[in-house]
Amino acid sequence: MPKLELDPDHSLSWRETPWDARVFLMPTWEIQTFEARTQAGGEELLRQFETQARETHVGLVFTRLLADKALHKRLLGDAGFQHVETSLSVSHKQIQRTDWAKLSRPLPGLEPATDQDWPGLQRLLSESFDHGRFHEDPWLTPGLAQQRYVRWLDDLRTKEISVWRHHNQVQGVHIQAVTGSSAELILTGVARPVSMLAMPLWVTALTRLKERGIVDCHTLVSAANTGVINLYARLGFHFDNTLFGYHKLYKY
Amino acid sequence: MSHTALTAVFAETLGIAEEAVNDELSFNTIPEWDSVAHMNLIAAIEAAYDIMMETDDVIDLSSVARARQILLKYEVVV
Repeated sequence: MPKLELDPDHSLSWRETPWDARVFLMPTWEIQTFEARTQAGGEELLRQFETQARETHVGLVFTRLLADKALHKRLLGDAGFQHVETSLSVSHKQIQRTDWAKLSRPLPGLEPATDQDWPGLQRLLSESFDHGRFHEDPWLTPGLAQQRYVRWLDDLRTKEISVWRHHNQVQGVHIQAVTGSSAELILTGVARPVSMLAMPLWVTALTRLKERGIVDCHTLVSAANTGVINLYARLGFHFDNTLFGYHKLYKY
Repeated sequence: MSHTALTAVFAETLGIAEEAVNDELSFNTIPEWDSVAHMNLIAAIEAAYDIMMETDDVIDLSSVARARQILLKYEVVV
């Protein structure tokens, strides 16, 4: 992972994001860590980063910051970054002690995805999601956001993908990555016409994690998606952090 | 159970006044009837009328008027 380091208090690291680059048709980066204690040090870091970004002909840089990092927000704004979305990191650490069956009946038929499900999954991802860092970015087109989600699916092939089919159509999806006793919930959702089945889908997915002995899980949710925030609240998730998402678009 | 009883089930489950329950009241048109409340509503209707709805009906129950029609299928007249 490339890194700039001025001193122990001032450093910045980033990674390439090929899943964004595929739809942007230019290199794209994500700043993963940004440590700055002083305005001058932060400005110098971002100046050096900018030089490398332009030399690489990067088209988009994205990053997320804890919402209470005043100095970092100011530094990014001064460096030409724009606030484009807000997310909440949420987690559930009481999986083994929670009985979700009290909240909703399960959704029978949530099964591992097969190759035959791929066209249906692509359709679901392009049509049924309104929230995400591309979807909510006012400077990017909705088409670009839809395309990114569809192509992102190819990057998720190595994860655990489950689908819910109804009348031979993929109408729900749950994607997760399990490491030891922890699970990252990557994407969960149902098609718009069956949006009332969101709760049973989540209850089924979480109950299966419990049956597997998973202890905790975490995910990121858009702060604009109040429907899903209410759902996570009801499911007993804890709201850990508020994150501000910033981007910088480059033109050459 | 009567028409009024179904109204009471909607009002109590969604946490709204009975006067706000009419045939046009639909899923996702008021904050109180979201996907979280929907399954509570289904459970409350099933308990009130001692039925178990099929998944298609759970999806289709998108308004008070539809609820009444769906209940007819389970031989419940409201």
